[in-house]
Amino acid sequence: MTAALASGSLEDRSLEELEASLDRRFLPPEAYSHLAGDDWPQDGPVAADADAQRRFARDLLGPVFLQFCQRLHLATVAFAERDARLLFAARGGLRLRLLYELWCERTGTVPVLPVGDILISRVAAAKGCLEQDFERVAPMLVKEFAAGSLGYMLRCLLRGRGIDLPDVLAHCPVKPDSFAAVYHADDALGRAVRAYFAEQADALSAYLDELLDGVKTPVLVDSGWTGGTQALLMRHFPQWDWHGLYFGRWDYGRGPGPHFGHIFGVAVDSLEPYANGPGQALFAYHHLIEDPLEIAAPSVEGYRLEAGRGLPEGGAIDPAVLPPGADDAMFQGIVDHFRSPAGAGDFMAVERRAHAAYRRLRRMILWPRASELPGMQVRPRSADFGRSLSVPVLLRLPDASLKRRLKSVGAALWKPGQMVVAFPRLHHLVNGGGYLLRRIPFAGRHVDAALRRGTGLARRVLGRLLR
Amino acid sequence: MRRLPEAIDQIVRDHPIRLISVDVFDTLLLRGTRPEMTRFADVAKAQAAALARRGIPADADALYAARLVAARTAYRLIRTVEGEREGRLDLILEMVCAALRLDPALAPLLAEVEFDCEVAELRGNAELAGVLNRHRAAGRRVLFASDMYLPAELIGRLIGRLLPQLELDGGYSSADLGVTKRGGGLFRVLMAREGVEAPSILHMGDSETADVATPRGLGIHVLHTPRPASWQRIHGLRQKLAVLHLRAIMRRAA
Repeated sequence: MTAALASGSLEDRSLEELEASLDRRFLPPEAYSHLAGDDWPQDGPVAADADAQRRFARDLLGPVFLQFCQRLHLATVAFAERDARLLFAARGGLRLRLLYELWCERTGTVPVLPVGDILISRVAAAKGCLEQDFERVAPMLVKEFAAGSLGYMLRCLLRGRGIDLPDVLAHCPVKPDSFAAVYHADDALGRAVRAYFAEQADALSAYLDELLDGVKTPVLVDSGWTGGTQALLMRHFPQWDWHGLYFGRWDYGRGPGPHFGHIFGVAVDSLEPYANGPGQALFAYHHLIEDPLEIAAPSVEGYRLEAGRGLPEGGAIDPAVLPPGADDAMFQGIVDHFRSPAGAGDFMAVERRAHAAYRRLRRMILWPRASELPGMQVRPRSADFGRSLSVPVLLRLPDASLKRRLKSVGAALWKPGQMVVAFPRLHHLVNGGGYLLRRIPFAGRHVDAALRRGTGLARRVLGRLLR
Repeated sequence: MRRLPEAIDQIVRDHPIRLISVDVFDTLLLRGTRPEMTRFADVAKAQAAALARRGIPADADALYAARLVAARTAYRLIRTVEGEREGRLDLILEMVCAALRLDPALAPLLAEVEFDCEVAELRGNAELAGVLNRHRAAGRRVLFASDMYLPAELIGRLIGRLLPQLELDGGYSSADLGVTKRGGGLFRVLMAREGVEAPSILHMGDSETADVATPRGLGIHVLHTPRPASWQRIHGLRQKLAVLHLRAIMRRAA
């Protein structure tokens, strides 16, 4: 494997030329996704209706987020005497802070804990922790870039460093072994990669030292779900007692992780189905929670050292992107609800409105009507970790074959919604059946677990039929 | 099945028991078949009435709902002790006050109302108290061990009110210690503080996990004292009805 450090080869070409060359040679894995191999049209099957989205968010998501803010405040009481600070995590958490502060303002509530932001992401944390614990962190990094090539992954990680990469890496799959070979190699590329991650470790450490000066218990606030970033921080920065107050805690059916004892699903929790039964439906379309919190700012993907201080690459996030913008009908609807008289409601009024909203949401998520899709459809979802993947939540069918329809339901981000698109007559039977099963008193909570177990078998059978 | 006094006597006769530890709720103090949720609803009504007498308007349904949310939250967020976690009434009531925008100074009043409700709800197990007194008179130490959000001091007061004839050498509550019987930490604290080895202890209680499996795993002699099957069936049914009652409360128009 050969590599030429910029300092050695830039006599003939400028840094800009090298970066442009790298961009040409190591392409992003646009074609790789769970939709791979299919020619799904880029646009969705149902045009979004901004007015309907705003109404939907005002009437249903607004009460749900309002209850979250109320319960978040209640939860902070548990940290009152623990030298704690409430840290809203970029990017989605920053809008949660806006909502929490709006709720405090509307109700005249004084936050129990000092409030701040933490500019971090899973990739930024993974980069900062890799040097100390390569064996455990590298697979996480590799998993996120698994759809592309090792060359593309290194291109993303080393962007702007003036480090040339051999062309062969464009065809090298991203695997822990291949990454380890580059990382541990005693050549110029290996040294450059190690130096990069050492710098990331120092910068993240410096960033946290400055941010958490005088704090013993950082309490992260974010939308959720598994707390992967928090798990990294807990492992590598044990001098702080990390906790997470997330909108939801979700184990994706894999069982609780070792850090789950420090994560609390304020609104919904997949491991406590009895705590908010109707809220469990959100796991079938969690993008309803994530999308309104998306801001028009790039994800924090690393840190840099500047005069001994650790700073997020890309700098601070402009506060102007936090209020609802022109393309933020859903978030605008949520803010509308906060600003309505209901936003200043007492505890019981907020709880009751949220309870009613969760029940309606459950029906609409699991058994949607065709007329409800324009208002419930969120923007195409994009991948993080520097990848430029964009996937619509509902897929337009390029043809009407049964195979295509079934695949679309399997691949769509909101499966009951896709059922409406793919099977306009049958969807009531399938979605309605699933919905009514979940409504069986005291037994409905077991339906999702049973379906998960049955899905593997069904997938294998369908796979054989469709082969 | 042998009667409880005979079962205790036999274990004490067959083993060098120096300390008898007894579970409190549903063992030493017996509850009716009303489940916890129903009791919380009644406590909330009494708390609302107590606040009203002080000129503070409070809705019983709101106190009840806030109590349930606060209990769930407190049990999950309270500081861990040796990897274990247990709720505490004072934290739960602080959260209730924060949720309902009540003065936190009212939390002791709410706790006092809860104590009175517990006294009205519970009845003492006089037969067991008699057996324990007999063994204490024979030189063995007798104390209680409870997995509960109430502090040991309050539990001791409850026992004193309902079983005034019972003489105890103290007691331990998970609310004070942060460690529990079900996790084993409370038994370890008990052994260390009392200076007694596991084979010299007899523990009895109704919970299969907290009072039987965990202490047995530590080498403690155990006696399972479950509530009757008919009690458990009715209790389970009433628990389901309580869930439906809560749903009905939440469905009332905001």
